[in-house]
Amino acid sequence: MGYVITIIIAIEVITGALSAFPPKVRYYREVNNKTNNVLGVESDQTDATPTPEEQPTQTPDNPTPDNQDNNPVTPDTSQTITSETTVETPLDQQNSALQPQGQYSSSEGLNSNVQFLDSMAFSASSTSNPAETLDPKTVEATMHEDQQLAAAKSPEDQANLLVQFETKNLQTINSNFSTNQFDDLQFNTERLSRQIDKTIEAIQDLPVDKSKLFRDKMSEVCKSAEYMLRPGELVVPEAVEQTMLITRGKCFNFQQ
Amino acid sequence: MKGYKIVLFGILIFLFLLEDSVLLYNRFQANRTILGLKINNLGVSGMTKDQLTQFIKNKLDANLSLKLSYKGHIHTIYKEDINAVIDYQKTLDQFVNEGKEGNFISNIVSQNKAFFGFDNLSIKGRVSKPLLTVKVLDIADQVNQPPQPPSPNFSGDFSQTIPSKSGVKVNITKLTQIIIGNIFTPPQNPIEIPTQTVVKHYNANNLDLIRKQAEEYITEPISISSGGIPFTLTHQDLKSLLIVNEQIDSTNPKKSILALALDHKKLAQKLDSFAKKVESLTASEFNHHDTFAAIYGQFYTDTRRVVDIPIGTKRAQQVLGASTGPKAVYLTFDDGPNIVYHPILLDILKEKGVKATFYLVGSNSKLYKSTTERTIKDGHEIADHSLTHAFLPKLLPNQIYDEMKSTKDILNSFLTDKKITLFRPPYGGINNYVYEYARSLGLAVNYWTVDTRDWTEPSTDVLVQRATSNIKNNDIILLHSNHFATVKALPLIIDKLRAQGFELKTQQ
Repeated sequence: MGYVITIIIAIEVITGALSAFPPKVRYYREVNNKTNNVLGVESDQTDATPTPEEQPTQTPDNPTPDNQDNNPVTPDTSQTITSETTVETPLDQQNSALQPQGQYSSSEGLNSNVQFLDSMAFSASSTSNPAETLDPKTVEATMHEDQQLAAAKSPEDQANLLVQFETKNLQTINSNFSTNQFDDLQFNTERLSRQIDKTIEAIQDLPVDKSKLFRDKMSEVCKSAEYMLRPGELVVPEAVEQTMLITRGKCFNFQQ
Repeated sequence: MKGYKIVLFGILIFLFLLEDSVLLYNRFQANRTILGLKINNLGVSGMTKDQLTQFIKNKLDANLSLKLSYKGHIHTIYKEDINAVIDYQKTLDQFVNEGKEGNFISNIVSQNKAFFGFDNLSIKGRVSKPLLTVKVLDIADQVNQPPQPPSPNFSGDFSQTIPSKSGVKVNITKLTQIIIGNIFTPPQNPIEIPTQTVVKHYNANNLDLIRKQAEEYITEPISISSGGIPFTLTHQDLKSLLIVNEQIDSTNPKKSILALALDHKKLAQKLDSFAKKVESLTASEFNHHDTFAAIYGQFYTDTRRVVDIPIGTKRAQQVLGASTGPKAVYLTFDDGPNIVYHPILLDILKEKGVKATFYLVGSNSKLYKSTTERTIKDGHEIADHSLTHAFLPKLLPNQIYDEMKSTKDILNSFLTDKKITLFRPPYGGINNYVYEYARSLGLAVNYWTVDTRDWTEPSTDVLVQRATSNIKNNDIILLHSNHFATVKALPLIIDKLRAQGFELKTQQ
């Protein structure tokens, strides 16, 4: 019995050693390394990955769809309209047959690109409370401006302040473009649109000479808006484009 | 009891010997797959590379399509749709190497795993990233349904309220993985498209305000004209365009409010036949940006007047780049760069090996420098499309000059070995100043011969048909780099033009 066991152990050791050091292992390893370097989705991604300057997923105002979906909305009792987003029962794809295997699972570059575009395309549908994605500085500046406006006593003071805010707003819009802060861009453009409404309203309450002065000032603002928003319409998601068009439309109407 | 021990010992010895046989076989058959190996659940035990190649060709590389379903609607993806190609070399190498690389323990584990049927490898291959991106976004576009806020019943009695409705959103990460993981060996039954239900709960107290606004805004029709042709959005038209959007309250950024809006896509589609008429008379591009501004301006300020949308003057067509070789067409993309669709267009063109001409807006190029640089690096021609995409004949002479010159300077700053030589006026809007300045700046004014009107976001079939029907030698096809419709149609446009024997070239 002892002999049999000894022979079996010897066979095990020999076969184990033989299989552990196959003669062509070095060759295989080299081939494998080469193919890994040359072939596959990874090599395609390298070319197409956005450069850091334009990497959209790095900007704080471009949350991935998943982030958007998971954003809880803080209920604000002061709101006229409250909104809340919930994601219900995401379809579970645990079936292993559906899972990508091997090389394909390394397609994160592709996914982030698609996610960005998807979030852009879906932005009009407001899957999250847009107020939550605004730059706090934007919110702060808005409140400060509103306080100043509320303190203005005469229509002339109001018109004066509004023209100042519009000019400043246009600068902010320009900065939003360069940083791809689309939520801020939409908000600031919407705000500019409202400011234009208010200015036109305030101008109507002014005496003729003052009215003409502010009309001229408004024309200048509208010229700048036209300059800035026209090409802007060509680069933003559709939801933002509409807000920009409304603003341009109001200026267009004012200048007719 | 003794007999039981002998049987057990016998089984043990048999297992040891079997194990050893397997290990020895795998050891001495280095050019074959290990025993028991499976690929996509099909056995490929002990096969040589030649046998494996034949096996993959016959069983796995057949022209099968991947079917995806959502609520019974089937979306079919063919391998050629996303250029899915099996990488034979890599696949064969990996399959033959399986269980023979690494340390002793991992080899033993792998070989045993395979022998007992637990090692199931998958085919290695590659797919085209841009084509897959387009496919995934296209499916998402068809399936996605944004959550609807509550709204008045715009198509019927305004006093009635249509309650909010949950939306559906495709999980594109999972969808991408599903396509990648199954494209080479699609299952017989369709795979369900992974989606999420998106619900929004509203406390819709300002619906009355929206109702009031809607009633005011749609009472009077909106009229515009262009090229002497009138266009009117009637009460019914306006009614059919009304939608409700959620937006941040501009007076309080902490609030979301519901606001009345126009369905932009529907409006663009409504303008399509009008634009076609105007273009057929003027040979210029319909000025859709000003048209939209005029309509939105009137709608949102509740004012009405017939606004005339200026359009370019009809001039003799200049066709540049005419070649005497094989018949050629020129794909041209206006209005870029941007970071939304422009990079995907570049990916598609690279994938298809096509060079095109991009007429870039100067201010956009300043904003998106890397995209501009990549456009040049990919070998495309870039050209001047004004600084702000303004309708030039409306501007003062010095402003026209600045629009053209500053863009030329901006674009030249990206180039090292050549200079900008082409100019395309936005909407084809030209006058004598434009011509004169172009001449003095060394810019050739260049138009197009085929306008696809892709800005109306037509269906892919319609856009492909517009861009590929009745195409003649040296036609210049006008597309834009800021519309998803263009992205979706581009691979098919290229394939169809090539099938007609056209070479796709840049305008130089």
